[in-house]
Amino acid sequence: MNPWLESVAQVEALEDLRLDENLVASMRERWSGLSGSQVGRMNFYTPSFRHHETSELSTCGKNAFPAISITGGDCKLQCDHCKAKILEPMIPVRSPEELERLVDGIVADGGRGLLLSGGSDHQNVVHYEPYFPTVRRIKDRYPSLQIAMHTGIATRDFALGMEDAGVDVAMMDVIGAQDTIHQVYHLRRTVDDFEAALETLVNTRMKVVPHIVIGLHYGQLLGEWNALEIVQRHLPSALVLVVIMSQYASQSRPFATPPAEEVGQFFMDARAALTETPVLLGCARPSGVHRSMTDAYAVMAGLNGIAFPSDGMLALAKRLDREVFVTPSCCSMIVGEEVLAMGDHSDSIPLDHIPAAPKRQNRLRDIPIVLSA
Amino acid sequence: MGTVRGCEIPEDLMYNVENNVWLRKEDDGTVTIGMTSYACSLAGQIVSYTPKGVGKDIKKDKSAATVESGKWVGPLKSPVSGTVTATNEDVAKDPGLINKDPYGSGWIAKLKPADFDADAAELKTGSDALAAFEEKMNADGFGGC
Repeated sequence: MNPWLESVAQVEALEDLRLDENLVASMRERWSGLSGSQVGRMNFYTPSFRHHETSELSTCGKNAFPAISITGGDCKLQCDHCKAKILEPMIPVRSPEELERLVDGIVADGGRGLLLSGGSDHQNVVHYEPYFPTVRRIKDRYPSLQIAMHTGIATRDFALGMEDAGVDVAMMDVIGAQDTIHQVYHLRRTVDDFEAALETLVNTRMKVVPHIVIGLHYGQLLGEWNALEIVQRHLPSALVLVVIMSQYASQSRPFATPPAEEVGQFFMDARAALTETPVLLGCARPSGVHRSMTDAYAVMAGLNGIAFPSDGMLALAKRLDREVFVTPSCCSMIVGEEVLAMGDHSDSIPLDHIPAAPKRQNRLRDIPIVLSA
Repeated sequence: MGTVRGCEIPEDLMYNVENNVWLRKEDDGTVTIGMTSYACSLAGQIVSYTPKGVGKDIKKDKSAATVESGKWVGPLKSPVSGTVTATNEDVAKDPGLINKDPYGSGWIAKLKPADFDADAAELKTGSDALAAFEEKMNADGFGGC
């Protein structure tokens, strides 16, 4: 039996998990040939906007990094996979003045950062421009407050506006297939426009964390490898991979869930392509058994981090001899996946044992971390 | 039917209030367990249900299933030690059933308890349960279902 599958079987939470033997064998073989500064280290983190509890770790329950939408729930694009649903749980603001008042309250409540987001116009541009002076004032007033911003397609002037405003982290989706841009996003833009936007952002002082959505073309992998090549050409601070979630799509244009094996294959390719750049598995991915399989493949492929890891992943990573760290949400530098991109691991806890027969201990403020006896 | 802050808490069931779990002792000696309406309200629309398999031994206060919503992922902790005898196929097909009927068709698991009397001694029922939930909701700052 493949020793990696034996390791899976030894983790109680994963003992019923059925993984593809050929893929696992391929991952093990490819892993042995990898080298690079980002190969071998894993950070597990639990962003504070969602309650997450497994036998290995849990959130502290306090949302230290709220998400804010400057368009409320409105988005002109109405992409087939999202339909603006991602904006719904965010805090709506409709004016710079409202944002400023809101942030004062967030800081007073102990917030340590925020995500600025919003719906796009028909050209995939989120119109933050009226907010830039306010963001600058907020950063001057609260220099340690970390601000991340979801951008659509940024021009050079737009990117410089973000930089001058003091935005710490820029995030954008990189789409590598023209058909996906046209059909899923209903957008008259080109793949080159997305590449130019990434290049423009990377040329600023901001941390840049692009996302690649696996299965973005109605559940099929189409432009993902091209997107990966784009990221390779304009190396960002980190790359976040997420997996399409089908529940927001309309019944007239449904999305399939990409098989976990295909997702795992892409993880392996991304790892091999970016050995000097952190590659992280972000929050969005299908739930249940698919999620456990996806997470196991992420560990085996050697990704550098997993947001909201499924039960058993810390133990699996230790059994596969990864260097494992845990970053509790209340200690995170900024929203979820940007933890590693910020290059600050001071709040991470090294895990020096395999979690087993867990019992609860409290470490680091009030954050429950489950440690072995 | 008891109610606490708009959340239904049937007084004939037994509860581990801290873990927000109910238990019903069946005539054949097995127990059925599930999420309270309070837990459902905290979680929101549940989208995934991953139970431990039939035949698995589960220790008291350990996970009998993982449930997931858009803003909540966590275990349903069994209030008693025992062996899983059934999981809910209907909920597997439609996890939202947990929200719709948490004390009926939305049950989470059935177990054959290892030592029911010992484990059940820590559970609350009737008016004691209602008072304990009121106290918990107050401590949690919960506005109501």
